[in-house]
Amino acid sequence: MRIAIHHRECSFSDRWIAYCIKNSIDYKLVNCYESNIIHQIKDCEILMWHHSHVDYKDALFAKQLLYAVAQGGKKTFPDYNTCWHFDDKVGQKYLFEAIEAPCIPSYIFYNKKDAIDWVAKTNFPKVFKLRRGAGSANVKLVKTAKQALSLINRAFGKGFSQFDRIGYFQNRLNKYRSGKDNLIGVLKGIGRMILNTQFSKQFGYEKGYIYFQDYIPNNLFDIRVIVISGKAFAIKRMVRKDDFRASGSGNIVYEKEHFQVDTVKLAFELTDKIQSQCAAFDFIYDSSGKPMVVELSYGFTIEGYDPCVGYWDKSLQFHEGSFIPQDWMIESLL
Amino acid sequence: MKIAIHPRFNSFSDRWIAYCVNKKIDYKLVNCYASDIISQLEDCDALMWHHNHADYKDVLFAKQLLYAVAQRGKKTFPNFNTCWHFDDKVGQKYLFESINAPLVSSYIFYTKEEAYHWIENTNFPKVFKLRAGAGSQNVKLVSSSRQAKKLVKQAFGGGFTQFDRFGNLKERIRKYKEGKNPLMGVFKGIGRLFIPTEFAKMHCNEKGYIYFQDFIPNNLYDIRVVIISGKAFAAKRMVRKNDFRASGSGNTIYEKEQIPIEIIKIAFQLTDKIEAQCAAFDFIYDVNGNPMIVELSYGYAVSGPDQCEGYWDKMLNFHEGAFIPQNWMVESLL
Repeated sequence: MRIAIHHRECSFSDRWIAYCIKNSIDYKLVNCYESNIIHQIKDCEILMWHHSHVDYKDALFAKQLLYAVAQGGKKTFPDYNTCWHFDDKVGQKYLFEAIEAPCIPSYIFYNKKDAIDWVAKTNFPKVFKLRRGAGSANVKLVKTAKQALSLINRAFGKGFSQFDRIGYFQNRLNKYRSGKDNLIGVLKGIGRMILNTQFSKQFGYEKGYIYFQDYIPNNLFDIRVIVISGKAFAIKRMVRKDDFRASGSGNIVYEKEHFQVDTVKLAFELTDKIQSQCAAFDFIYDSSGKPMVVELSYGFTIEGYDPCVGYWDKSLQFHEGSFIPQDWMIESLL
Repeated sequence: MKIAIHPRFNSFSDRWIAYCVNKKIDYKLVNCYASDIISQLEDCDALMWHHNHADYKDVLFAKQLLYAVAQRGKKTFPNFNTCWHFDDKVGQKYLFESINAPLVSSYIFYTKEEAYHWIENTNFPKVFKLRAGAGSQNVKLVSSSRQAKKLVKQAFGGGFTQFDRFGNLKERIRKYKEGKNPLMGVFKGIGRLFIPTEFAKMHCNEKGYIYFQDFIPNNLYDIRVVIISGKAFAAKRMVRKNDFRASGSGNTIYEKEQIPIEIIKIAFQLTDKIEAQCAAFDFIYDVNGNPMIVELSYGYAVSGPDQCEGYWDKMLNFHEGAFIPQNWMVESLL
């Protein structure tokens, strides 16, 4: 059994490689961006690639490469069930509705007229999202029909840049003010007002659709539960000050008592339905205290979860102590 | 068993509906563009949608919707194996290499530097293609490294529109001259020089990658074989005058004896490997007379096969007489 690993610094691959070395597992570093990648993995049974939603190259072909490798009879991480909906809130809307997950009602329109008709009949506030973007990028609270109509005009006109420069700067500024970022971060934010990211340069504008979610008030946090091969761990993310968005805020709480076991159970159930190898669900709670899924991702930042105090197994027993989730990813393939 | 069908005029759905009516199969028309499509499907066991690569809406979400519906346990046409690579030559490169199919050698680059490096070390002519586009759209013969470098610059600069306005006009003039299109078609082509298609308006330029295929000389035609549930039919498409492109030329031959049986056999084998419900392969011959695949699609013009003399079964027996391939698609879901 030989594993092909595409290495990217500060991604899961750091720990995959460490695990292989430690456990004497045969592995090989490959470069998925090269035209001959299929040839490179000829002598391997598994391909592992922590592809990223912020690299335009990955967004262009990572999923397709993984599907193709799987059709050749090899295992992949992530596999199809784990990643087809990655960084795609539109796909996730259909997925959650299809598997009857308790999700926040969401609305998608592919033409201007349908969207305008809906605005006339619905109430506000609503949450506007682009299908792509993590850490609350490309997410806005829409308070009025007028504001919604202006977004609709843009969605079916010029479109939206994937990189929201002003939002990015504000986020940097807020992090600096709350002591989570240094002045360099703010200067980077100013720089990004002028220089576009490589991603949005190569990807152009998002358009031709508009997506809204219901706004669920009074949520001061969200709960993220990550499930990997029958084990779950969780973090609580407090919303930004004077904001409704928790993802990417950097205010994280880890103690076990912050998590309802029902939410962990729900995450296990959903992962089974999706048949995912690795799924990070973001939950918020509706007015009756019921957990609702906001979105799903197979990827997550590595260090953000190291302070977790333990994990739950599928029978909801808690196992105290530190752990390395990337090891579970490899173990599930062996 | 109830089948949900998304109707689109002049697509497979015309015949799916006729078949259901004729055979008294329970069916229901649904609108995949509506935000509540998942609840429309609640009482159905299958979804059939002949989605189209030339409609910007379909490109935005058709595959994702079908994947989501399948995760609910419903059958879909097309299913994942049939359509993940649809209208995506980059995905197909990886797929064919992965299953060891005889693909015309293809090269993909995601950075300018790698593309330049390759150009310095290869020979010309090569064929340039965008990943999307049917009927030989977005396909160009590149006869020199200078021309290739120019394309690379554009790929990592402004990018390419998916709709080649001048190519479209040229093609319309050719078809008019050959008596395959009325004069009105030429005027439409002139109009399109000034008014972009809905697709081009809603879709960003293709960029961030460049794709080349080897040029295989002396092919005066290609052979298209379509496989659907263990049955195959085929046509020979002559290249355009003074051109190397066959797909979309409109010069098609349907006689059985024009089709080499070995190609039918290869197409059956590949469809088994891909596990596709419906696969149309385009073959040409290399200099040694070996059949090579150019590309793959699950969709094709509905009326084309009406002129075929019959079809082959998997034992390669020929069944003379007319047939309706869309009926096979419905039957395969029952």
